[in-house]
Parts: sequence; structure tokens; C-alpha cells
Amino acid sequence: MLEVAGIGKDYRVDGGVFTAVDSLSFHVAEGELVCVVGPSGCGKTTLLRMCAGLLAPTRGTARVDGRDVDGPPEGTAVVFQEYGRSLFPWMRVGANVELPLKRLGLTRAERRDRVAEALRLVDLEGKEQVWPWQLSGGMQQRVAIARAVAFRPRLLLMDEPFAAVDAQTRADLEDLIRDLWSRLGITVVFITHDIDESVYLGQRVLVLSSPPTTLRAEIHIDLGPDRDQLDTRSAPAFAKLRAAVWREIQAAKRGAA
Amino acid sequence: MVTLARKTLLALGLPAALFALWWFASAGSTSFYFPPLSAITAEFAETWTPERWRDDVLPSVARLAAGYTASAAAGIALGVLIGRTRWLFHLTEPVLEFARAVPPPVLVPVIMLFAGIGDGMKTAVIVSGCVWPILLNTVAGVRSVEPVQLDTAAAFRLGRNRTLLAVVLPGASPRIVTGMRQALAIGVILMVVSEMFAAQSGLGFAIVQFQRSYAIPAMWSGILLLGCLGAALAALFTVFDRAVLHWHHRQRAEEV
Amino acid sequence: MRRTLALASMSALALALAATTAACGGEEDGAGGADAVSVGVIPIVDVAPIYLGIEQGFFAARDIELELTAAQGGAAIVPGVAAGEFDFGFSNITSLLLAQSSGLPIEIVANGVASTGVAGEDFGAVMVPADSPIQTAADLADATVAVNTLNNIGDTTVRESVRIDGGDPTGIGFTEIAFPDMPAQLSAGNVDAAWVVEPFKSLIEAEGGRPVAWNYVDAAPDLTVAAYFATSQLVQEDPDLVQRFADAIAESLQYATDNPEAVRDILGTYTDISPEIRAALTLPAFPAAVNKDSVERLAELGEADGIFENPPDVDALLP
Repeated sequence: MLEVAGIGKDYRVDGGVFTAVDSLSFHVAEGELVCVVGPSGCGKTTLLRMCAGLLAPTRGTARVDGRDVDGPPEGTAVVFQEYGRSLFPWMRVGANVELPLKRLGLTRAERRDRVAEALRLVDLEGKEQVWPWQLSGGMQQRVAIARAVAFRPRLLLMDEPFAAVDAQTRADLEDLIRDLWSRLGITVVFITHDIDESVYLGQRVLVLSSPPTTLRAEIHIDLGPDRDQLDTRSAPAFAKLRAAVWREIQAAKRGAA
Repeated sequence: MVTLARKTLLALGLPAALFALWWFASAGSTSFYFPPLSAITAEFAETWTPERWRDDVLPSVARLAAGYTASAAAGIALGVLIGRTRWLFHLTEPVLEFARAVPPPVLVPVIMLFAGIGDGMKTAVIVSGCVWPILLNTVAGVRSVEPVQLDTAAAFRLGRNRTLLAVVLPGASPRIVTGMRQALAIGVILMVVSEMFAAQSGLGFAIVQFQRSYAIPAMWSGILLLGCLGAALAALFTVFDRAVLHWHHRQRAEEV
Repeated sequence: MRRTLALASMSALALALAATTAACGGEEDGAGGADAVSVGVIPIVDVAPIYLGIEQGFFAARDIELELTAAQGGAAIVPGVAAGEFDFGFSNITSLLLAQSSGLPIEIVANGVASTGVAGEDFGAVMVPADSPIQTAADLADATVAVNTLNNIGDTTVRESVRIDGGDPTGIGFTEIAFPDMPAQLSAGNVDAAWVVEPFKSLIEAEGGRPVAWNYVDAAPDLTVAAYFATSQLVQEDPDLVQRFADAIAESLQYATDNPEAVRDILGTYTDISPEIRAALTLPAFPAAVNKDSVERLAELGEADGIFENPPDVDALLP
């Protein structure tokens, strides 16, 4: 579904070149939920933007659904960290969710139904006429997720979507993502700085190094398909996997090989 | 309803007080150029006959409307283009700041050579002043559209047209409307200025002619009428503002 | 916010009222006992005599220290005199008739300038471009004619020229354009004809334009075009100063009549007219006295065209 081969990004700075991302190569199979973690500043967002076609790589390629990414790929949806600023305040919730659907050649009734369904899936049923700024932060992020879901993307890229949300809301939203993922079968690439979250959500966790960033480690999460905030997080297997990721990140911060 | 009545009372209160102050302060005036307000209001109905409304006031307002609309169309279109194209912005920015600093009355003789002396010239004078606040505010508004919103539009491949109509223009609209409000005030002034040169009719023209022929109470009545026109246009603009930016005003008021 | 707004409005109003009442000047005593006198003039050919008078010392000899202020037209000078900003002013006769008929208390104190009275050799005329189909005054019917001020001496006398030539002046579209802009507007074809005075007449001739009507000549024989005036108050309160001023002007007018080259030379000191144009332009006449009959004729012409709200009292206006 997503093939990243030797992708890298350099920036011109005073006195030379700063290599943010040196070379990353990995693949994400269709229907997988993969998390990407790494130390602060390791270029997680840069990587996501290159996969989303919002940033041109300096070298290497990303391929979505077999096609090279040289602009936002078809059938890809992105959920950003800044939920408040990604929704359009001049449109009500329903209109916000509906907007990306307008170029899909659907009838008005079909769009309306998709919007209603998406809002129901994120537990915001019936809120089409509410203004985005009348909602709490967590609810706004749900609207952004609903917007992505209604679009029925093949690939969903999420850039630290719950970083700015409180812990309890974050837990609910994590479960929402797993629920949507298992129901709709979307391929999800989930960027986060929260180690626990990456282990709880992902089937695989990709750990990045510090800049110039490369892939440090790839850890398979075999916690099974049914996960629960209480039971899963208190299982010994969870702690082991969590520790493994944590160790890799500490090593990455130290700059060890 | 109570708040509407209260708001109207407040809005009309100061003008009414000033009017009364003027009335009583000028009551016994023998000054030629500052006649009693009572004389001015007595002149009002006599001067501003239906023929004058048709021949002077209406053409002036029509030219103002034409000039303002043209300014808005050109200002917004060019502003969006310049705001969205970075190299164009850097190229044109110094030139725009230079051009907007030139007072339109200075340009009138030049405009007369290109545009003649008819309605076209007067409309051109109005545009030469009104276009700048709209253009420059549009550029600023477009450049300050939330980058995350632009990224969202790009990621969902909304396309240039839909991005422009659904994201860029609404995002820039608070700044654009600010520019339009400034332009309205400038437009009323230029409407009068444009009629001081080679005119044969118009509200500004009439006021100037009254002054030239020493019909001073009539001149003052014209000035009062001009002020009322300006106030009426401002009120109309507020209606427009509330309609276009109702989401913006509500958000500012209600934001969690 | 509202209180600030109210305060601001009150302050603005107060400032405006104060500024206008402060515009009351008046004479002050100059150095050495001479009277400091301010005169509002338009920097055109017509006022060359007063400049000559200063240069020749005619005013100083009568204990008058003149201060001349250049204004764009009668529209600025008449209010200036009425408000006391100027002691004397220079304005065309029709403007003065208008002011007087509207109740402004002003009087002519000395003659200013007159038409030469000779068609073909006057300092004002209606000009058309070289290729214009307009040949005579009657052809001006239904044309667009530029004048520097509407409902004033320009349009009333031009209409008379058209009438005398057998044309119908009611269809003429007079439009107000400042003299300096007229040559360009005439060339650009925005107006069919332009009534101008020197130096603009010579400027247009230099570009190939030609005269089709001599409206100053047609209006009345030896037409007094403009004069110096003051408020009735000044005439009553200081008749001595007014008389000295009038005498100095009369002496200046005589000097100008006798020394036309001096007139052309002094033009270079207060205008931007080039030496070539100064040498070529037609000078007006500078008679010592106002032609009362011509003033009455201008009043009649103005009344016929309906520019006066009340009929002017010519006797009250004249010295």
C-alpha cells in the first residue's frame, strides 16, 4: 500500500545543509495499522508530509498504491495535530465533513448519508448543524477524523493527532481509531511521540533515529486484535514491548548506532 | 427587541445631541458662512427637490456604486492572485505601496486625459482611491490563511477552484471586508472630489456650485445630505458585514 | 469605547468651531507706521499692475506695506475678504455681483483689468483646436465649452457672443475645468471649445488652436472684467486707507498702460510663463476707472441666465 524507499530530506540553513531525514525505507501493507515513533525532532512530521505529497523529498521515493507520490495521492486522507485549525470555521460540522466528498461525483443524498454515517461512527451523531468552534477539542478532532472516514480513503495518515488532547479524551480517541480501523479496513500510518500509544495501537512500531534520521528498529506488536485500555495496558507483554520501544528511543537520543 | 431599540437610541443619541447643540449655538448667527441651523434646514426641502435627487444625487451614488464595485472586483481578484503567488508578491509589494500613497486628487488631471471628462473619469477617480485598501487587505488576508487549512485542502486534493472558493476566500474574508469598509469611506470622499473637476451634475458638484454662487445655506444643506448619505452607506455596509462574516462574529463571541 | 467616541466627537467639533472663528485677521501696524495690508490675488496677467506698483514704490509712498497672497480663484478670495483674512481682494465682476446679490457686504474700491475691446486682439477668447468644424460663435450651439467657473463671467459672456452671432446658446454644455488643464483637454478632444485668458490663449495658439469668439468684446464695449474690492465695513471704518489703496492702484494701472514691456517683464516674477509666451501674449487694458455701464450689462446678462437668486444692486457695489 505504502512503499517508502530511501526517502530523505535536506534543508538549506545558514552555513550549509541540514539533513533532517537521511534515508528511510519501509513498507506498509494494505489494511495494516503501523505506528511511527522517535525522539523529538526526528522528522516524523517531515516523513508524513512527504508521504502525503505535501513536501517534496530531496532523494528517494514514496509510492502509494503502486504510484509515485509527486503531489497528494488520490484516496489519501490526513488528520493533523492542530484540530482547531484544520476545520473551517465558516462551515458547520456537516459541511466540513462533506467538503472533500464534493469532487467524488456523488449525489447530494449520497454525500449527506456518508456524512451522517461518519459522524455516527465517531459518536457525534446528529451534530451536522453545530459550528466547529462550539465543540470541545476532543470533539473537534473527532470531526476531523469523521471527515477522513467519510472520504473512505485507502490510506489514512495521522500526524500526532492526539498530542494536544487530554489523557482521558486521548484514550477514547485511541479506541475510536482501532474501532474504525478494524471495521473499515483502512491502512493507517500513525505518527506519535507517545510510546504507550504506539504500542497500544499498532501492529508494528517503526522507531526512527535522531537526525539525520534513519529507521532504527521495527518492532512487531503481537498483542492480538482485541485491545482494551485497562487489560491490554496492564498485560506483561505490553510492558515488554513498551520497554523495547523505550530502549530504542533512548539509544536513538544518545545517537548510538 | 429591547436591545435593538436600545442600540438604535444609542446610535441616534449623539447625532441628535450634536444637532441640538448646533441648532442653539447658531441660532442668532449673523455670520455669512455659518448661518443658523434653522436657516439650513429651511433650505433643505427647497433645495433638494425630486429633480435634484434625480439629476444630482442619483448619478453621484450610481457612479460611487460603479466605482466601488469595480474596485472590489479588481482588488479582490488581483489581491488573491498576488497573495497566492509568492514571487509576484515580492515583485509587486514596493510598487503597490508607492501607488497607494499617491492621493487621487493629484492624479485627476492625468486621469482626465485618459478617461475624458464624463462618468468614466469620475468612476476612474473613485477606483483610483478605493482599490488600494481592498487590494492590500486581500493580499494580507490571503497570505494569512491558516496553513493547516491549506494543507488539508491540498491533502484532500480539493483542486484550485474549490480551494479558492471554499478555503482561501472565506479564510481571507475578515481582512477583505475590513479593506472594503475603508474603501467605502474613501469612495464617498472621492465621489465629491471627482465632481470638482469638469463636472456637470452630481451631489459634490452641487455643493461646490452652491459655495461658488454664495448660496451658503444650500451648501450646508448639501453637506448635511452628504453626511447622511455616508452614514446610510455605513449602515448598509454593516448589514453586509454581518451577513458575510456572521460565522466570524459568532466565533469571536462564543469561542470556547 | 462609547465615552471615548463622545469625547472625541465633542473635541473635534470644538476644534472645528475654534479654528473657523480664529480666521479673523485684520490689519496690523507694520514697521515705521506703515499699514500692513493683505491682498488676495490670482497669479495671472490681470494683476501685473499691483506687482508693478509694489516694485515702483507706489504703495510704500502712501504708507502701505502690501502682502500679496496668491489664490486659485475668486472662490477662495471672496470668502477670504469676507472673513477678514484679506483686507482687499481681486475678483471678476460677475463673482462680485453674485456675492453682493447673496448678501455679502462687499464693495469695489478700484478698477482691476478690462478687455481691450478689440475683437481679434483681446486677452480672452473662446478657442478651438485647429481641425475643429466650429468656425464662428454660432457654431458653439450644442458644443461642450470649458470655462474655469460655472455660472460666472465666462459662460454668461460666451452665451452673449453666441446670441449676437445669431446662434442659440441654450444647448451649450458648459463644463468647469481649471485654466491650466484646458489646453490638454482641448487637444484630447474632451471639450469642443475652451474659453481661456492669457497665457493659456497663447499656449493653445502655439499648439495650432484658433479663436472663434471674443466674448469679452461682445458682452459690452470696454468691458471691465475684474476689480479690487473690500468689505463695506473696511470702507466705512477706514476710508483713508481705502482711498490710499485706490490711489496707488490707479497710479499702478497708469504705469502699466504706459509701460507694457514692464508688464511682460514682471509677469516672469510671479508666474511660470515662459519668456516666449510672455513676449507673444496679448495684454489686457488697464483703465483707471471701472466702466459702470459694462458692470450693469454683466448684471443683465447674469440675470438673463438666471445665476442670481436676487437681483444685484450695482450701485451698492460700485465705489
